[in-house]
Amino acid sequence: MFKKVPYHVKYKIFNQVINFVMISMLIITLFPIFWMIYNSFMSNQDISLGRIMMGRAAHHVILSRKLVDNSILLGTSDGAITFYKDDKIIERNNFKTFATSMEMNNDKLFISSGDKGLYKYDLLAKQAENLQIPWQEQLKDPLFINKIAGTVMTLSADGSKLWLTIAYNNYGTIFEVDAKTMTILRSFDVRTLFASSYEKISISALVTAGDILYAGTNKGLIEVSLADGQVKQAYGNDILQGKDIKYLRSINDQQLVFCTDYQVYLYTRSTHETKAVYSTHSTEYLRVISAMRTGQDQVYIGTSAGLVILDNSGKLVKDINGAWFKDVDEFGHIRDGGKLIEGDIINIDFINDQEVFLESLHGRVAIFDLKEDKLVSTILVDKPGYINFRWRNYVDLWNNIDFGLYLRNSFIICGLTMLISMLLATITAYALVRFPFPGARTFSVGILATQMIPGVMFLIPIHIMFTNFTRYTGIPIHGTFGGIIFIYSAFFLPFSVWILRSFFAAIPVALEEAATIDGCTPFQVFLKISLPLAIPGVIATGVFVFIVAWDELMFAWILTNAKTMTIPVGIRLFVGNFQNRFDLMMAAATVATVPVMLIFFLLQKYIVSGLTAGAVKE
Amino acid sequence: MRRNYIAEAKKYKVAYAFIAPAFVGMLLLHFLPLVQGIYMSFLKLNQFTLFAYLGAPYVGLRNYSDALFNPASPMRLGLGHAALNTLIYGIVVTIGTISIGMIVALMLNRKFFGRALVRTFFIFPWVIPQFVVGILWGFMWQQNNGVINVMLYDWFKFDKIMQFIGFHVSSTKPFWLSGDPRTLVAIILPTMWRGWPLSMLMLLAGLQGISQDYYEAADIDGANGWQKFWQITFPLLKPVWSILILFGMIFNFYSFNIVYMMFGNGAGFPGDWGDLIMVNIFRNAFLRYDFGTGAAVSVMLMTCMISAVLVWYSFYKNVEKDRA
Repeated sequence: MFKKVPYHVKYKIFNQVINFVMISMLIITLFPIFWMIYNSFMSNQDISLGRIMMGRAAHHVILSRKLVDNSILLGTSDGAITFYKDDKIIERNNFKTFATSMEMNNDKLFISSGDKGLYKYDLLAKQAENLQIPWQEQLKDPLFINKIAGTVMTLSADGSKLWLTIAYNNYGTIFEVDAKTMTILRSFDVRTLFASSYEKISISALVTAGDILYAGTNKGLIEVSLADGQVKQAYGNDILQGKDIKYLRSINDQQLVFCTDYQVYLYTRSTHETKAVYSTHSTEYLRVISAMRTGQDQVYIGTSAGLVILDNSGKLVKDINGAWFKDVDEFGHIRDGGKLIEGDIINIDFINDQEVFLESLHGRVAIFDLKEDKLVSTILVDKPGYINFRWRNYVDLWNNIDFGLYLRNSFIICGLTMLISMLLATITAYALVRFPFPGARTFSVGILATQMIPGVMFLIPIHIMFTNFTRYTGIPIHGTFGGIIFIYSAFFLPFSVWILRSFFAAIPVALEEAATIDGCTPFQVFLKISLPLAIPGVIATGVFVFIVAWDELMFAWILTNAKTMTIPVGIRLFVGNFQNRFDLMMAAATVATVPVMLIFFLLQKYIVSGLTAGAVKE
Repeated sequence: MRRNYIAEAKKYKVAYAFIAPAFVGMLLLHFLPLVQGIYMSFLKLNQFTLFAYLGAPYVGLRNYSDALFNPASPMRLGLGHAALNTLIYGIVVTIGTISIGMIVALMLNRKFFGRALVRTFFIFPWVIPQFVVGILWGFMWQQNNGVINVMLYDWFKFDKIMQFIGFHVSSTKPFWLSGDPRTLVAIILPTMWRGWPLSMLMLLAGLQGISQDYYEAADIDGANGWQKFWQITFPLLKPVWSILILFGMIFNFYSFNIVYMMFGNGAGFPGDWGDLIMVNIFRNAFLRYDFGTGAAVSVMLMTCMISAVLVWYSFYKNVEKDRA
């Protein structure tokens, strides 16, 4: 039956099958290259978790307000602010920030971020103003942005000033910013309290009361006098049993409330007294406090199992159990039997005597009726965070190691090596092909034999020869361009000669004879007749030498110094230092690959014809 | 007949002038170091005697016997495995690159739209520097977040499929670079991936040089595609693939960069099955400062290589003779 299929049909089917196989092979072949470039734009966290898709910024709700016109404003941790009215988005603004925190005063919204500084958004004028905060002045760490746990910000009661800092290991600078003009007024450093450099401080909350700015840290409560900028320890963390302060709020002029993971404390400013008032240890399950907010002279505490309300003396008013966000999936949609997400209430906002906004992960907000103790409704920010496409990896790479220098060195060394070895290789190959001089055959065998010597064997002799040369003549070779170019040119010469030989062999002898009869000297024959005809082969071989020289690691490792280091050496050192930063490693690999790829792509016509001809015809 | 060398030298003075720089370069940077290297292999050269260099104590064949027979010598320990790995690695990579290159070259040797572009894309892996290949594949072979394990186990459920067929495969993701036989696979694949485009290019050029007449004659005789390949294409490409075998031997037996970069910190011992002889020599000579024994092993390696090339040449001579 199969035999009845006509030949041309069979042929067509066969062709299509081959095409399919070929395209699949192409995809498999190119995948690693694509993967390298793709991963150089991913965040290291996503890579470490084995994620295939590029991660999105989290869009947890961190600010929610009911505005005068009954529309609802939701700020999410990807730096977006969304206005809802009747469950519909009426306006949305995305600042695409990282490590975001938001504060609001009347019609001004402040967004602080780790990477883009501070934004002031005017709700009426709908205009944003930006202020760069010099976080890194103190840190001097070009990779610091990745280590920021979050930004911490508080507004003064009248909204004229704000104070902000970052939650970062051993960072203690708090900036005071004028909210109206958006200028940095001054900065305080709370690290001056700690003489020993072993005591690492990290600020997790800020609040002002009267003339004093309080900072909740892992070393207890610290107060900064706003009048003279003096920093004082208000309460050590010995009272907190070594626990970090997680949230800090003021209840009224006289009282502050702060909490650790399981314990809530009241602090009276006039007497400097601290009182432990509430602990989730006593509850049935080990609940972690995941949110705390004050309002209406009461303290609202969000835990993984519900809402706890205390009055201003620390007495328990209400304990409402209910895992409202139990069935919220990772997109914020509520579904039956959905994935349970930890840390249910992450923030509590907009408190009045009627209702409270309970904010959750992944863009979900619940409006809770305090009078009737029930959930009224929920709102979802149905816009996932921005895609975490990170140019920053390249910037980090550039700031962290001197990649520009390596690139430049590599270009100088490989380019000059290419020029010199091509110059020598063409004349040598020409001489070998055209002149049957005594010793030509031995020389050819010698050229091939050099390829059989393992490179390791040369390292010590060459190293010592160069050292001795420098000792006797005073001409430095180690760590100079000259030395490495000399080595490379001599090393890649035999192989270049071997390839180039066949190009010259392919040029008809008759042409050269004609030129000789016309009165050309042998050198003129070479220069005017043979060389122009062999140019494609010379280009191909040259690019080949460039690519091989670009790849050389062993000799560059011992013969270059910090100033003449080439890319392979730089990357080798870099990989040793940043074993777990796969994002940066892939960015480095991409940067090292792109130049050769470009050269190849531009000259590929010559390379393809050149290399094939060179290898096949001999 | 005696040749008059002086007269010939005069006649070919241009030729001698042309090869002079290359000759000097090769003398200085190939021949001299080679002689020193061979001499080094008879010396007890380590970090304490390096300052004396060639004046280091002469120990005769001690370095060779240490490397080959002394079970207490650190060089001897990994040498057997490294040599075996290199042999397997070299043979598999050489044959693998030539076969894949041949398959793709045959595919590309047809007329279809976008052929030049497809060919260019196929050559891309060959342009990637080897140290980048090492980093990239080292990253792809990671145990939990490596894309290969993620694809095999999370997407294609490799373990389930194997169980369905009847093989028992653990459902935990394997650690490819731990030094067990898998590691050899993990270093062979990247080298093949980078190496085959060159074979493909050369074979393709060879294929295009074969006259269609042969195939037409075979068609008339009623040969099928398989027969045509083995009776016409393969023998006619013999000059190409024999050259490729030589390339493969030299490049792969002396392979260094890919493996050196792939094992993160590179210099460390990558385990029995991840060690290649060049990496082994480099590690022992330069990180354990045992230059004498390192040189001895290098000399042995070179001897093996030269004899292998001589065997290859006796084969290749016939090829040339056939063509002539």
